[in-house]
Amino acid sequence: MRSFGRIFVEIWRSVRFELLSTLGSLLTIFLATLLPGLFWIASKNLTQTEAELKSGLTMDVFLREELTVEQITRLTKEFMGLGGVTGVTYVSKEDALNRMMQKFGPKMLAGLEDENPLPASFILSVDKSVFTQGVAEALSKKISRYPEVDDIVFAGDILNRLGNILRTTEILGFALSVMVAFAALFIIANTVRVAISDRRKTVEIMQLVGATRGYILTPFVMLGGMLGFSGAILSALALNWITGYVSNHLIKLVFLESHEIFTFIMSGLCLGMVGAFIATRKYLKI
Amino acid sequence: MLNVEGVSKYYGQRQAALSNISFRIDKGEMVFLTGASGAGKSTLLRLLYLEEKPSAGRILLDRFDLSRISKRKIPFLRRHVGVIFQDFRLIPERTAAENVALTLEVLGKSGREIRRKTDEALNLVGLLGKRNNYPYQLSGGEAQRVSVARAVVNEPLVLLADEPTGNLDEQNSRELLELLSEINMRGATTIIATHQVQLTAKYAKRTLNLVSGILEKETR
Ligand SMILES: Nc1ncnc2c1ncn2[C@@H]1O[C@H](COP(=O)(O)OP(=O)(O)OP(=O)(O)O)[C@@H](O)[C@H]1O
Ligand SMILES: [Mg+2]
Repeated sequence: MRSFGRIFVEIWRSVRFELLSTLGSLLTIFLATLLPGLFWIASKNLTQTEAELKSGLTMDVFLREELTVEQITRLTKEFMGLGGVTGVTYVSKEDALNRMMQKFGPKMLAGLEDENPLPASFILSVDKSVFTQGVAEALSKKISRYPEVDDIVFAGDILNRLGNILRTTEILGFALSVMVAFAALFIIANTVRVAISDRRKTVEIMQLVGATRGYILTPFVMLGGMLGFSGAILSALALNWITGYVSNHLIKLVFLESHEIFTFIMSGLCLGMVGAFIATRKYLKI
Repeated sequence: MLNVEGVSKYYGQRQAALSNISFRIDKGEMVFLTGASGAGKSTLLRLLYLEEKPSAGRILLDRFDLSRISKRKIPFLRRHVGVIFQDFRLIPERTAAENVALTLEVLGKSGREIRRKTDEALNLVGLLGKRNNYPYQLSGGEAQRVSVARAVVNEPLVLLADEPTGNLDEQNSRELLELLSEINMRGATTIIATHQVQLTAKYAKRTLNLVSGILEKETR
């Protein structure tokens, strides 16, 4: 087997006279891999956020008035008996005000101490079962029958809808990524086609001195692989920068983990090699 | 060594480019292949370096039956056949030495062996001093000598030349034939196709003359 050095020399001879178009296709591959990367990071972050929201989800049960200790004990017990409820916390009017103070600072709420407008409430922790169709509705219906209860606020419905949107986005992103990958495949195949036709004479001469098909096509396939590989690396660097920028200026985002980056770059490499191989099948008529 | 038995070559349905050709060439021989334009010289050589297959007949080169070789094995057989063309066919983006080295590279030889044999071959054709010149930095005569070096560097069973002097002036043509003759005397079986009979006369070698695809009876 010949050394890697000789293969790279051969690749260099292929691209030397087509530097501009090679750089052009590198740029296109970079852009083409950027889109799937963005979708990947977005979906990763959304999924994580959704999971966090779901696990910390509560149902707020607002009460008509402050309850007595006996009432609190009785209702706590009864709420705990309802399916899906994993914890019950009573928040008095004073507690509610304190929480508000902590959240927004005392300045903004100055004056409220005299006449506290906040209602007392129960905060119910719920488990994942409330995300099954109809369960949350049944639960809030039961609770609203209590005469002490004024209003119920549950963010789960919105979250459910958010989840649906997320799934749709993921499917759309995946479909779009597949299309873009095909485009990248085509671009690489085309670059390699140009390289092959530029070197038609060289290929003929190589055949004449007894080069096998494998020997002749290896540099072309490696050229495709290198294009895909470097395009994906550039794209990973850009994605890392974008994620950092958004984290610093908008919202905290997580980047791909190292094994995911590896998968991402290797996908670029494979894409490039497959594209180039297709080109050699079609255009390297030997 | 080379045995051509009843070989014909048709392109489509028209007249045969070669019809029922038979001859034998022994190891170490030097043979001229002559004939007018279109007589079939290049066609015969193409069969010998496996660019094409005969429509009928057999070609035996040493222990190989060229007419029956599978496509996969062609590269391996080509390594035993050196070819020279009228238009040199050097790779423009490789230097003289790199062009010669190609023959050895495809064989997977080590870098050291490649360098040694390449320099030997370039020395043989008198161009060691121009080993790093690119083809465009060589004269026609020099370029053809580089292609000779490339053809013989791996010591092929047979050296084929199709109009090797076609693009050279009188002086360079003589020098090239001199070089091929010298290489032949070192033991290489050599077949040279040409229509410049005035140049070959001096060597008084065996001559195969083609007339419209038919081999004339040998006079010598
Ligand atoms: N690929 C081809 N397809 C069809 N006909 C061909 C092909 N190659 C050669 N021929 C025909 O075969 C005949 C022999 O051609 P060939 O090239 O062998 O002649 P030649 O003796 O080498 O001539 P020259 O001295 O001009 O090079 C010609 O009539 C030519 O037209
Ligand atoms: Mg010819």
